[in-house]
Amino acid sequence: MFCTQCSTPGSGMSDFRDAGVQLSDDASDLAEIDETQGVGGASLWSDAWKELRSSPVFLVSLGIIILISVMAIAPGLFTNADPRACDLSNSLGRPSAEHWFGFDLQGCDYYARTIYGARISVSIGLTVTIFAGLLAVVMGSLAGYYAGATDSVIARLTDIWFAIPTILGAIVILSLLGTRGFFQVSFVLVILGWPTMLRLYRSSVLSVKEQDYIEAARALGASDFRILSKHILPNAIAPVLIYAAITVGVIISAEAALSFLGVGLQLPAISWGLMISGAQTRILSAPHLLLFPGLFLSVTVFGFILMGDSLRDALDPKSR
Amino acid sequence: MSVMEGGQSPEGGVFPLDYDPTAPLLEIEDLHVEFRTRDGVVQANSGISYTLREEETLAIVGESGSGKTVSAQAVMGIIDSPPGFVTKGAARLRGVDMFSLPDHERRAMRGERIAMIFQDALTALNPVFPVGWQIAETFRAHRGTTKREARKHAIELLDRVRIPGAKERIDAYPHEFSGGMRQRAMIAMSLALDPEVLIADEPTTALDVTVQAQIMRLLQDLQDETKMGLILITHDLAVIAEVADRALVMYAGKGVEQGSVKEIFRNPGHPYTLGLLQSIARPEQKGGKLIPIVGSPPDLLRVPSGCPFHPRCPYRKDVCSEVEPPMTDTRPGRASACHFAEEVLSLGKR
Repeated sequence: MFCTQCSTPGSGMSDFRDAGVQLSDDASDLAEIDETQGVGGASLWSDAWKELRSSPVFLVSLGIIILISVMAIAPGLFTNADPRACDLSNSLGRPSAEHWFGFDLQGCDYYARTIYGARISVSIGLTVTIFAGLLAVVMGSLAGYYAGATDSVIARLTDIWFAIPTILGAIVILSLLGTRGFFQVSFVLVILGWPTMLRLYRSSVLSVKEQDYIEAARALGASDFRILSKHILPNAIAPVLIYAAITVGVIISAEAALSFLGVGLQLPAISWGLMISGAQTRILSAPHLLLFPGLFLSVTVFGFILMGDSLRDALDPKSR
Repeated sequence: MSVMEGGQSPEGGVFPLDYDPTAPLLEIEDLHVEFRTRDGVVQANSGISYTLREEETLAIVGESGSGKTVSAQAVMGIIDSPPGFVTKGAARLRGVDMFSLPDHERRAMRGERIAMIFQDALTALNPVFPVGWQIAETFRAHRGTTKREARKHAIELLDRVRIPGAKERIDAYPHEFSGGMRQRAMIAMSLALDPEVLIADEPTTALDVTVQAQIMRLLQDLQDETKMGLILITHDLAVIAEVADRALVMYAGKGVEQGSVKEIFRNPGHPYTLGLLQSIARPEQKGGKLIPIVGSPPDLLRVPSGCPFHPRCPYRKDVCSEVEPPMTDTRPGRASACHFAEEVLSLGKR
């Protein structure tokens, strides 16, 4: 969804307000001031925020994301148990009143491990999205704003990169690495994940740079850096933001998939993917091993994808 | 505080260019602009020349596609390149040829010495920022003014362009302004740094007639205050008759007639100008017929040979399709690019 219309405010409500102002001649404009001020300065972003505040989808996704983030930052709030204090005598213990999620093969408290698993999943999701997004914005700005050779080089590079399947590429690269921790997995996912966002941002820049206010800014002597950062970025970033929210979810599930396949994180790291991986041979005998991390993973991914959807609705009202 | 730019040389201190205060304010000489498109080279401007003095209003008139806007963009240095290129000519501001300056020096001149306003102020203002912020931004970018100072200047400017309640309106967004106020805000923004030359590209075309008059009066008043030279690009002959001192009539990327507005309107020296004047309604010719110019403007990829206007010209002779008439002086301060300029002039006063 290329949201070329996002940059044009004055949709919905504001159209009426705008029309109202235009009808009045300048002499009666004074009287209008209080009215327009009362409605509040409505930019694209504050309009979007107003819409988001009353969107149930957004509030649910925000709730999920806040909950998971608190879990990632302060797991101690949710459990007193130490996820690494394991007692083999509890091995594969079923869920009970004291131990809600039961125990894993090593006899570790599964609830504690599930809670602690949020940290690495969320950090990988956010880290990869932020770095891929930065890369996309910088390269996309260069490609979109400076047409010609710069664009050709970056666009072709992106096309080639785009042809590498993300998961397959990640499996190949990661299986070559001896140690695979947070850094390696994130790095590989950033390397493979930037092309889509770059293409989005580039096309967004291409449409925004044709706007009159860019020409006006140039006519007033603004430098390329200023034009790119102050005039193009805020008008072109919306599609990337929407996609970024979804990307966080996608990356979290990609990390789980890689860990499940044995090329992601390695023990003793605590991650949902690793937990699901450990459950794969005991799905019938100990289904709780799959159920709980799977549920947490799905809900988290769902939360970020919902967030992306509600952002899209708010930033591009025409897409509904 | 963001990266500084403009106004000052990298060495710090005064602007390094040698402006000659005795030279004409703006002198455009033999400007050629071409667009290299897939279909071929479009000669958007071929040989435009004019001079603008301080306090003077020069109107550039012509149909859509005659190259008026391109000539302004070329002077400003904001043509998208590629595909647009200035291939020949000079644009001297107080004797300094802007085309020969390095990019950063040209950029520093924009806004500071020469500024431009656009047809549709709604699209020429950034929709995501309050109007006041955008005006203040000009100060911050060029002068490194502090936020608070810049905001104060912005309010003063909004006052100067007669936006009522400037203090309250400064935080409003462009779409909360009426069409006329947006154009006022745009004017405030371009006058922020006191440029000596202001190019107004169809500043009133998007506005209704009463607001048009207000905006033109505002521009004239500001011109009286600042002594700036004003280039008014328009196809509205009524506006020109009202405010411009001199006019340059453009056709197919070339200047075809030049001179004082009064004389051109009273006694046109080029068949195209004559055609333009005959095709507008005037109160005194009540009941008379309007005479349109036959045909349509040429495709700039295939400009007719000889005089570009000859296929549409009612006075054409054989020579017109063969030899391109140069711009020649016909009367003191007047010039026309027509083989038969004298004959057209002798068609009489209107």
